[in-house]
Amino acid sequence: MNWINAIVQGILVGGLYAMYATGLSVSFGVMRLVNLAHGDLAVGSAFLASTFCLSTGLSPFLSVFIILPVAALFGVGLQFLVFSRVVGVEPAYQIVATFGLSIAIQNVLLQRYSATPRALSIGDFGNRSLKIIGDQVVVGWFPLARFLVAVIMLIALSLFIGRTRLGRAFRATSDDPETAQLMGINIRIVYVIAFAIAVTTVALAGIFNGMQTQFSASDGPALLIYAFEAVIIGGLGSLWGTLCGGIILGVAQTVGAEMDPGWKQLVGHLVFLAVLLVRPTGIFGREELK
Amino acid sequence: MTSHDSLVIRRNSRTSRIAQAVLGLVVFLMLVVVLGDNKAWQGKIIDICVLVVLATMWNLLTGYSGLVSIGQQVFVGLGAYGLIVMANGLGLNIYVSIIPAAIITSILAIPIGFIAFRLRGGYFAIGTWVLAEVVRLLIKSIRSDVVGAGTGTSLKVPETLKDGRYTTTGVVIVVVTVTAVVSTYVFLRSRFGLALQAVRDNEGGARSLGVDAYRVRFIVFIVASFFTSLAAATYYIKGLNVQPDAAFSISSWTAPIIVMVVIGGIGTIEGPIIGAILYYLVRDYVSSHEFFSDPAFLIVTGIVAVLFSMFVKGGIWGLVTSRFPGFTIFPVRRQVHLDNVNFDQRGHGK
Repeated sequence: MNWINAIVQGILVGGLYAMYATGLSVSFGVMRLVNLAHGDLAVGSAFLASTFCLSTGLSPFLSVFIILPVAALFGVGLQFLVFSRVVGVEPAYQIVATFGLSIAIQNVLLQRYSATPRALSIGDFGNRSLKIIGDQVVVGWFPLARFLVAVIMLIALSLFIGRTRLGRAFRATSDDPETAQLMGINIRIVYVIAFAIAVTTVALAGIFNGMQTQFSASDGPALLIYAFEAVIIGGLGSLWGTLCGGIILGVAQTVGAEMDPGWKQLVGHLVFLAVLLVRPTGIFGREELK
Repeated sequence: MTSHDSLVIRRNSRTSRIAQAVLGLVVFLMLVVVLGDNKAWQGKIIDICVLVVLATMWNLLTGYSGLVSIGQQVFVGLGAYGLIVMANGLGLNIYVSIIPAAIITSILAIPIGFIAFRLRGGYFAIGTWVLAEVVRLLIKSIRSDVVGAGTGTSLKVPETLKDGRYTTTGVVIVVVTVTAVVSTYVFLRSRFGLALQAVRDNEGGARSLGVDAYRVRFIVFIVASFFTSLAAATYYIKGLNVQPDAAFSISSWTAPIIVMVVIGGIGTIEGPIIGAILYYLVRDYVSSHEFFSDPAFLIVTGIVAVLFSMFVKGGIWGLVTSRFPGFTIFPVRRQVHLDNVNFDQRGHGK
């Protein structure tokens, strides 16, 4: 059935949405920062990867090893230069600063790469697929691999936050930055690492997205919205909730597109609004909504 | 005589009265220009006034209630489509249409607010944006000749109203702008405005004193939707073409509005007005002299927004008031004056 195929594809796309959402979740969880330029950072990374591949002739998979460290450094720089000055002050300035950054990045990309969409070619691997039920349900190897990477990323991150010393500092800072500081945690460093993680994960998601679909300079806001919806559907402060939220959003979109090709986004948004109305804390969210 | 008798609580000062008179003169001059026959200048005044209303309303939300909305384009779009439905669909006079358009928009703002208010801070911001997207997509999917689906439609102006459209629109928008700014001022000076600012500054504290924070904010959200859509509908009497992607565009409406308010000064009545005028003049100059390309202008705008929110939090008006303490055109705060008290009384007042 087409519907089953739509659901399967939706789940696989959901993995990608979860990957987008992870960074948003981490930066909000640790530093209470909602970065409106989140999606633009993903698109920017995809463009960088494209430039890298075109100039070296190497595969986009190899570009990851160059682009992710660059993204991490960019995140560190951004945190030091900009966000460290707006975190903790009135939320309005924080939102305006990240929104200004979003406008700037979007238009830098537009200026540099024009409005023409691009794609990252992964050659033959992008076309190979696995037939699950005859010709009805076909799973591409690449989306499957991407989904697995998303899951591995989430496992690694939750082990890091749950089991390591630094992860404990993350949780302490999230709960109460002042007390965490009194206990000897350098929250400036915690913030920098958290934001570097956020930028790196969203950069990876941006590159993975570009390997399957075309992307253009103005795509950032849509990606931000998907990431945000995944976070809210899953529930704030829960990484596994984020995966679940991403999957629900992905399935809603593919099923919506199956009903009418123009409904992909609308159905996704409506499912998000429904969750917000029925269960504002999200599916896995803790009761208090800060 | 108790010490209280010698303390005077005042809001207006002589400078603020003079400044208000100057502002009244500016409004009068704007009306003179609008009543003339220079279409280019009339157009400029209409555009500036629309921006002033939109900026004032965004500031009422963000600067006075702590609600950062990046979905104000939903009210622009609804105002525009309200105008189309009233004028093209129901055949109402185009100038009269803006009022039911704004009323319908503020009624629709109730369910929109109801959903958005489930989110806080940055998530409230993105939530308002998603809601604007939902409304845009819904309007695009309506199959009706009046609305015109994805390609949009144009306002039909009757032959009799074609002459002097800019003049009438200009007068309407000047009236709308003065009403919006004066209502904001009166609103903020009222008991209600005090409650609003108390909620912004310390929600817990305001609540413990019996302020219903949710209700206060909700009312502001509705008021902002009313004036935003009223100004937007008026704008489209001049602009005529209504397309869903343009009317509900975050980058052509909400993004510049935010930049204007940040540059002018968040949380003051004067700031958004200064910011809107300045932004319009710079944009007008830059685009008419082909100084920068469009993206280049937006890059600069984005960076300016970042820099102002980092280093010049009070905006331009903040710089003015720090240079001239106490100077204000729209005094919202109460100031305690000791001018009836001479030195001896002050020393032994208690």
